[in-house]
Formats: sequence, C-alpha cells, structure tokens
Amino acid sequence: MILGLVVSLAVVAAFVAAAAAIRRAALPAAVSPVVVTALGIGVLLAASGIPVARFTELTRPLHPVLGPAIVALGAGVHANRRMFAVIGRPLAVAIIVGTLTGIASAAALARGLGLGPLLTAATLTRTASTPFAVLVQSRTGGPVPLAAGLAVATGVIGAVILPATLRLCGVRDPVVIGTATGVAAHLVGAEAVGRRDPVAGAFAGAALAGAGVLTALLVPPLWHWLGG
Amino acid sequence: MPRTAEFLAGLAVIVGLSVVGTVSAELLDLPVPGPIVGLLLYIGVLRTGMVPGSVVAARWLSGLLGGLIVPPLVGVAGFAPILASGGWRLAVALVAGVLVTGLVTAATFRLIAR
Repeated sequence: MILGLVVSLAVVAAFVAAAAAIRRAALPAAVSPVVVTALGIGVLLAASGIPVARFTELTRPLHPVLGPAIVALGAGVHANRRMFAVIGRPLAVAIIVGTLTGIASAAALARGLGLGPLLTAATLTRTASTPFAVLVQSRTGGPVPLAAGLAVATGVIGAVILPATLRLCGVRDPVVIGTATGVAAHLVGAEAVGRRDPVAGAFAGAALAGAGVLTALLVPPLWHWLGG
Repeated sequence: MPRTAEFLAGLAVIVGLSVVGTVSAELLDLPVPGPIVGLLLYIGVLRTGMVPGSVVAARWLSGLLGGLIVPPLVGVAGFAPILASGGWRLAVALVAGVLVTGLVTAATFRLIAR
C-alpha cells in the first residue's frame, strides 16, 4: 500500500516535471508529456524487469483521483459559459455528427481491414474516453481491458497528430480544435489541447462528455450490427 | 476566507460531487459514468455561485489529469501480443479513424457555425 502510494506520487511528479520541462523548452504541441512519461516508465520497467501488470497494480491509488479530475473539467465549461451559449448549436451538431462518424468509421475500418472479432469489438468504443468505454464494454460483454487500452491509444494518437493536422487544414479557432480533438481523442486529447489553450480545453471537455454519452447510448443497442 | 481553506473547501466540493455522481450512476443504473454525472452537477453548483473558490482547486486537479492517464497508457504494453496480431491493419484503423472523426467534427462545426 505504502509502496503503491510512493509509486503513484512518483508517476504524477514525473508527469508534472515532464510537462514543465516541455513547456520551458517550448517544444511543439505534438510532444505530449503523457507519452514522454509513459515511455520513460516503460523503459525503466523493461530495464528493471518489473512486469507491466505489477506497475498497473501499484498505481491503483490513482484510480479514485480520476473521478474528481473529470468533475473538475466542469470549471472550464462554466468559465466559458457565454461562448457555449452563443455557439451551442454548431457545437451540439458537431459532437453528434463527429461521434457517429467515429463509431461508423471504427466499424467500417475494422471490417474493411479484417481486424477479427476481438479487436473489432474493442475498437467500437474508441470514440469514448476510458470510463465510458469500460461501461459500454462491460454492458455488452466486450473485451473490457483491451477496449480500455485501445481507447487510451486512440487518445494518444489523436492528441499527437490531430491538432497539427487541423492547423495544416487551416483550422485556427481554438473552439473548433478543442471540439474536434475532444470527440476524436477524448481525455488525452483534451489534456493536450487544454494545456496550450484553456478555451480549447473547455470545449474538448464538453465534447468528450458529449461523445461519451452518445457512445454509451448508441453502441449497446447496435452492438451486433456493428460487428461486436 | 484564507486561500488554503478556500482551496480545501473547493476540493471537498469536487470530490463530494464525484462520489455523489458515482453512487447515483450506480444506484440508478445510468448509461453514463459517475464522474460525468458529477461534472454536470458541478456545473450546476458553479451556476449558483456558492463556491467561487473551487475553481482554483479545479484548475489544480485538471493539471494532474495527464499524470492519471500515464498508468493506463503504460498498461497498453500488456496487450502487446494482441495489438501486434493486429499489426499495420490496427495501426491504420486507429490513425485513419482518429483523423476522419476529427476532421469531420471540425468541418461540421464550421459548416453549421457559418
């Protein structure tokens, strides 16, 4: 238990240090402190021969902190409430269309590329952040841990490539970048864009909540039809 | 109120709402995870203007969010064999899916907002 607390605190401290170092060095947005910290820990685990499962178990004390950290995203939404009121309609439509695209593209790509039943089922909740993915998969009898892993992997991929791609396509508005990254890359994406721009972070937070709710409502009834 | 007390009070409100959200989602069998229920409740509480100091605690907690996602990301390595079995196909599915989803979301937003 005490070892778990020490390891958990060390993980958070390593992340905070990595985030501060990246900010100070003014590295590009694609350099995510989440990924850098995870890679560093991966190297340490491999070098010391500690199994990943043991590390995951030791970081259990962090689980109860995740809920309040998600609740805290509400402050960003509240702080930008006037903007939300003005652009509520495009925001809502974009979240709905984006989430439907996310679910449909997951099913279509899995089928088209012949991913097999297990990976197909696991990718169906990829547009939802991990707590939503776990909820949906446990209700439908899907592969819960694998789906959680793929949700996180999706978030990382999106956090790293999506904001830059959007900027390449001429999207500069932090509201649009935040919404798109929140829908496609949920929590990791929201964390990444929010670190650079609080407005983008607020919209990413709202988008990830909306995309998660839609996924939780739509995927279970469509489960078998989607290939799960 | 001194700053530390305000911070701790704000933290208590947020943690309390997270617990209330989790318990009610479980009891009512809601199709939404508890923390999201807590997030909606928190927005409601902020609108009443009763806990203005909680925003400092919220900012602090949000700053930790990235650190909390690190262990699940490291845990993905535990699925290396299954992920490797998906190979380049899985990589293409994930990258293409993210890009399509993000670009369609952004395009829809701009189209409707115009």
